[in-house]
Amino acid sequence: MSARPRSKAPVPPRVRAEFDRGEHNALVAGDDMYFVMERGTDVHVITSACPHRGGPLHLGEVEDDRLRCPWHGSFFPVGRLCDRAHPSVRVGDAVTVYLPATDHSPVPVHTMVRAGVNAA
Amino acid sequence: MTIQTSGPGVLADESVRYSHAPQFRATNKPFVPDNPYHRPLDPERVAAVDWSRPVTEETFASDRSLVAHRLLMNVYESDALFLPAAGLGRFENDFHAFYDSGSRLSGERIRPELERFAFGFMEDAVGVSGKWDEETLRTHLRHAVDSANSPGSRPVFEAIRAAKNPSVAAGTQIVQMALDGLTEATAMSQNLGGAFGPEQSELFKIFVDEFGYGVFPAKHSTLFMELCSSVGMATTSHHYWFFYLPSSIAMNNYFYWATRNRTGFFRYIGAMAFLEATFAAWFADLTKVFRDAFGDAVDTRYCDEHAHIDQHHGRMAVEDLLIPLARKHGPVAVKGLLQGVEEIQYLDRLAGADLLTQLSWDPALSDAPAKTPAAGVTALDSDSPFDTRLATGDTRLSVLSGEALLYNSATGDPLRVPHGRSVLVPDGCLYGVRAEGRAEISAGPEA
Repeated sequence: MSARPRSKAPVPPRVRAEFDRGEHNALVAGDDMYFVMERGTDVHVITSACPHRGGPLHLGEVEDDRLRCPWHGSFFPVGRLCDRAHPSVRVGDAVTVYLPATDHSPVPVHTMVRAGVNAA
Repeated sequence: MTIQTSGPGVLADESVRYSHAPQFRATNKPFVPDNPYHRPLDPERVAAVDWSRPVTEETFASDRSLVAHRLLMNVYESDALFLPAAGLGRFENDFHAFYDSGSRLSGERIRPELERFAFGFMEDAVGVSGKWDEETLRTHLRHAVDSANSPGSRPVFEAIRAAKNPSVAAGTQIVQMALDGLTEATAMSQNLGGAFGPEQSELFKIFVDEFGYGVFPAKHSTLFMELCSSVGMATTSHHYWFFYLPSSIAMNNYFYWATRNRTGFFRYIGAMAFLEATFAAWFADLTKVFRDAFGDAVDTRYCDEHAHIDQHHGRMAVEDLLIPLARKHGPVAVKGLLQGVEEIQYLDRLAGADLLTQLSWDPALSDAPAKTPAAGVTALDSDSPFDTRLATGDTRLSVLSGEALLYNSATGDPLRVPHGRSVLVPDGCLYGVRAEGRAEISAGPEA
């Protein structure tokens, strides 16, 4: 955990969002999209924008435990993506996640996510 | 040759062996006075449990969950010292039996598999993911505490006030609290040893409050005994053994489970911090409920003390324990701490529903004709062992001859069910039956 008093950079504010993993597999906040990746019983909420050129990672495929960006083919180890996922807790199917705060409130949606369920 | 040392098969054999120990013998009485070691377990009921089907959320309040948690409670509590208030005199044999090395070894053999059976479902039910920062952790905790204290969050208290006899309903609440109240902070005491830095001392500060700074009349469990005495209830451990709901035992066992498995320490701190942060408001409300139910005679110092000191403990447990542990020990600690915060809320919701089910049941005689179910007829007399169980599905209890006494609470009078009458026991309700003379009863699913 990054400690507040010791942080070099200020911690960006986050906003709470809740969704049902049985009904939703992504959240949208303005132009930002976050998708749900499930590994076993663990649920991870991951930023969809590829750090390279902003490609839609939620449409990428998982190969050998690595997620491949559909635009330029960058690979990201799934374990690392999950470790860096947005902070969340799940109780049953109810998931609470804290996403970066923007002018837009996150809205849970169900959409096409190719890198989503049981991507182990 | 392979020797099986774990798994449902070992649990099936060993749990029956364990429950045959003399301190777990049967009694024909609904209460177990003065003897903290005598905790009846029926080996036949233990043998009937299918250990290959662990408890789930749906079966959390079930008869097999009750059997499992009774077993677990005895295993855990044989690590703590109990001495009868009136002296060992009559109980010397049980004292030695309860702490017998063979019995404790048998308990230790079944413990890991029993824990998986009773608590394994939480691993699937609750998950923590992602990279947490301190501000988000604080925000999440604040939200959880505020939700727990929000208006309308105490349906059990409302049910006690609305009960036909609020003092009996409040007595049922006290019985469930007695599990922890009479041995308060025992699991916490088992987390005080070792060497884990400044947080060890911070935990000790909370502990000394629980123990009244070494002043017996100020000890929380002493205040709990005064509460019990003031409303005519017993003050000795497990007097009300038969009347604990499975979820109440589970809540108590949870803290022992997290404590006995040392890697569960962060889980323990998370759960404890959440409860300490919510207790002040909860106990303030409980004082009002007890005043409404019992009038001015009830001694609420136990609740008042919590309503005050837990304002401090809530802050101390979060600021001086949870947050520093998260900062120092990183993701593994954060995950454990949050797991504890979420699990205790989850269990509390399930336990609230279980207690609400029990409180909502007002047994009434019915003229529904007594049927002899396929399960057959049970003959009772005044020497028959007493036991309580949870109804699996709506259950029709019929008295075929004589008269039976139906118990659904520890403090109310039992319902006398005469020959030819019956009572519907709703699914998930705890009940026990005894007879003062010869009687025949049958119990089976309601059509």
